[in-house]
Amino acid sequence: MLALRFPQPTALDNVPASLKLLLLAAATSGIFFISTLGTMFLIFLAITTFHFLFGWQIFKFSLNLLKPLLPFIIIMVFWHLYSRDLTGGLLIIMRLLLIVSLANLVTCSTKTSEITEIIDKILRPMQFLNINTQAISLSVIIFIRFTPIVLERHHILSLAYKCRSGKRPSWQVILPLILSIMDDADHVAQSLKSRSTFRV
Amino acid sequence: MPKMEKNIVLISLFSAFIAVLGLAPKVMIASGVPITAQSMGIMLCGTVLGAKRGALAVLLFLALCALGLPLLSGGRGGLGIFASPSAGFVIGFPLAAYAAGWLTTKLRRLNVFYSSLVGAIIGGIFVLYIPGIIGMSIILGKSISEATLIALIYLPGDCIKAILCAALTQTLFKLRPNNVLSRV
Repeated sequence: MLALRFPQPTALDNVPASLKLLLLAAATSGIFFISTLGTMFLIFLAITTFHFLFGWQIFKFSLNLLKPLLPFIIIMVFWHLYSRDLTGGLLIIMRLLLIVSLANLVTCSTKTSEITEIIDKILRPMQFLNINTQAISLSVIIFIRFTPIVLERHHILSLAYKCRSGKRPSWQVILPLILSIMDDADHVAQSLKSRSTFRV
Repeated sequence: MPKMEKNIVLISLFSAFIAVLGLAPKVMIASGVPITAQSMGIMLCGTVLGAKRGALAVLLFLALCALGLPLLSGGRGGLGIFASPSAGFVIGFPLAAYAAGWLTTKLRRLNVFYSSLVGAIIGGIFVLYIPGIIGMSIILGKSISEATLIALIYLPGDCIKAILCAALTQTLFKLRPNNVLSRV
């Protein structure tokens, strides 16, 4: 429910997550060595076409993921127009688009559970350093379980505020939300203790 | 109350709280000035939970964002956040929460409002902006002073968030002093 995934399965989903992450690291490092705008543009075109091969829906979804970069792109264009170095600005914008779209491609085609497994493997040696990896796993589970609940509660508090005041709620609902989180923390901690699910 | 369990649950629930502040609609402070409450969540983690728990809550939140959950404001998530111009700010989030919590605890001689205000301003603005500006300068290929100019756009909103954060921490302290762990 929370995961950032493509709207439909792709062939990339079958590629092992470790290989995808390794290739992403290599590609990201490689991009910093490209200094010609033409090459950058060709690679971006190739990545865009690659997205398009998976269908219109995925192409549109991927473009939407690049939207948050728009304010930076606008600032960069105006900045470089002012400093009369538009080529330099376009090079930075292309680099940004390339790295972010590649990272999104890996993220959206990899299950959260696959990445969690890799992290679990990375964390395993930490057990020998007396670091409680069970606590980390438990935190992730509680987070995933409770985020929709906290979101729903925020929605209910907002509705209640709107009903009583007739105004659109803003920061006023934050304090009651914190209070409810504190109450939940007491209950969940007590429940964990009584079920002995977590041993220190 | 079992302490270890309580700490783990508080860290996880405050991570969820930061996520919700990013998913919730933008907060309107003054007419026509929309700001997202997520960075206020980072400040609140520090001023309410204290330095270590606050920083751990933010670290957990960031780790899950990196795993691909679209929880950063604007529905951002995945490894791409560490390659975007705001990567420095994202990396600075746990440092900001730690500094905000540390100062709120250290300045316990002051009223809760003032200690958390100092914590939120120094932690949530100064400490956050240092990696933020460095990151922006590296990724956008700008000098530090040029990147500082770009980052200054966020400053008025962040000052308002710091004041709100201090006011919320103080109200929480008045209602339930034991819940403000940075002062317990």
